[in-house]
Amino acid sequence: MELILISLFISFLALDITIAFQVLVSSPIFAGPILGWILGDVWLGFEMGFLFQLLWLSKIPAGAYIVPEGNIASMIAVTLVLLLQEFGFPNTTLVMVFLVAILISYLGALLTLFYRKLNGKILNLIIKEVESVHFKIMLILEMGSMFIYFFGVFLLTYLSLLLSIQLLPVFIQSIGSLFENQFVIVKPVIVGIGLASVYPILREAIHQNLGKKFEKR
Amino acid sequence: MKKDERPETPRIINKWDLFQVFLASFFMQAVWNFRSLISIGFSICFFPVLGKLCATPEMRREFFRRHLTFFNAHPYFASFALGVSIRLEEMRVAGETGVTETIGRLKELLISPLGAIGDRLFWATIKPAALIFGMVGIFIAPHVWQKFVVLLVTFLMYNIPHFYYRFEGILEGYNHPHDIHRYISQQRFEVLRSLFVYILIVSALSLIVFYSYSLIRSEPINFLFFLLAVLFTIFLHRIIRNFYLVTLGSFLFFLLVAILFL
Repeated sequence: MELILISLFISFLALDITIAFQVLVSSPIFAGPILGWILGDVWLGFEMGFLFQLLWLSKIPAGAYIVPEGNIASMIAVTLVLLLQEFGFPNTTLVMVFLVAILISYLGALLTLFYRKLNGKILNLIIKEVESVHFKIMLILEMGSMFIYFFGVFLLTYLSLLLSIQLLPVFIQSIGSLFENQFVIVKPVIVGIGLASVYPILREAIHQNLGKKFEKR
Repeated sequence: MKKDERPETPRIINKWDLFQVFLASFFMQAVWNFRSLISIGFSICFFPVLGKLCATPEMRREFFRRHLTFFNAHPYFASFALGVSIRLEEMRVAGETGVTETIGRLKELLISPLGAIGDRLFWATIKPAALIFGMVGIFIAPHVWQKFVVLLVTFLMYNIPHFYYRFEGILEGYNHPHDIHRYISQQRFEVLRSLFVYILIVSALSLIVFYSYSLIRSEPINFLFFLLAVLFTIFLHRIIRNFYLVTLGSFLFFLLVAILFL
């Protein structure tokens, strides 16, 4: 029951990514602490949000470009870390969860692609209804489209959490007993990879600012 | 006299109507599709003013035929096109001729600037600046309540310009439909963009300094892995363009290095 409720909550927050509002609450540094608070460890929620934030930040959803669904992946990752902490081996848990998160970000992008193709069918329906002078149906179809996305994210989240909670403890215990001490580097490596992925944005910002100053001179 | 200041065109849309359009605009990308992109969400934004703009079902049908065609823009900056469309539709209701062609033409002309300016300002500058600022705050704030204050500041830092341009875009588009290009030039947003570029640079440098310092103080080997992860991933990004391969490749490489040498 807890998994269903948390999956529903993640699906609701996921609407913020593109479908509705877009006020940033689905970003890892916001969603992490909220999920941490719900699952009883707000401090860990903050830490996980911090770790996962930079990874997807440079992926700009311009035009029809479909980006990795990093926010959904991060929310699932934060939930997994919070739920799996009872098994010990925190570094190994984070290694496993990170790998799951990358896979989910890919599956989430596929979900978005499928959803956008489905919306093409909804456009056809809307055009047909408009020609028949039925306009309120547009609102119903819009709500329906949003619900389909919500349900798709719910399925992705619920199945990911369910499978991960069944399978990961075995890997965490077997791998963790061997390499837990070596995996102490996992947090700085994740932040390092994240920082490297936002490097193009930073380079552009610095280049433009310095460029302007040189132009003025 | 400017075109959009013609006294003969009466205004039937009030600010409350425009505010309702503003609220509807939060669902602008709800039915994003590959054929008409954001046109469904854009069309649904007109529902609060539809009764005033189209008296009969046939007029509404024509209205949606006009607006369900291909349209795309940055979701926040599409509000400029919304305002322009509402005012021009209002002029059409008042009996001005040739307005329907103008609506289509203006919307087409607005696609590129509204997309380019919005993406550059929000996705490439304000969003990373606000979130990296938030990360620094969360990292250095010692107490949970202070971290929540940082989140609140981050939320406001991003959403004040977001809400402002969403609403102001509708108002400006509505008040200046024929010379809207004057209000959406790159120069107009340059001061705000420069401010957030500074926030982005200072926040990113602060993050690197604070995070590196904490790693050096606690476990210097972690700092070495952090530094190498940054450099190695930048290198991988240059030779491989695939996000998944680069991220996974870099991550697995450092796990292997740790297993072999630690």
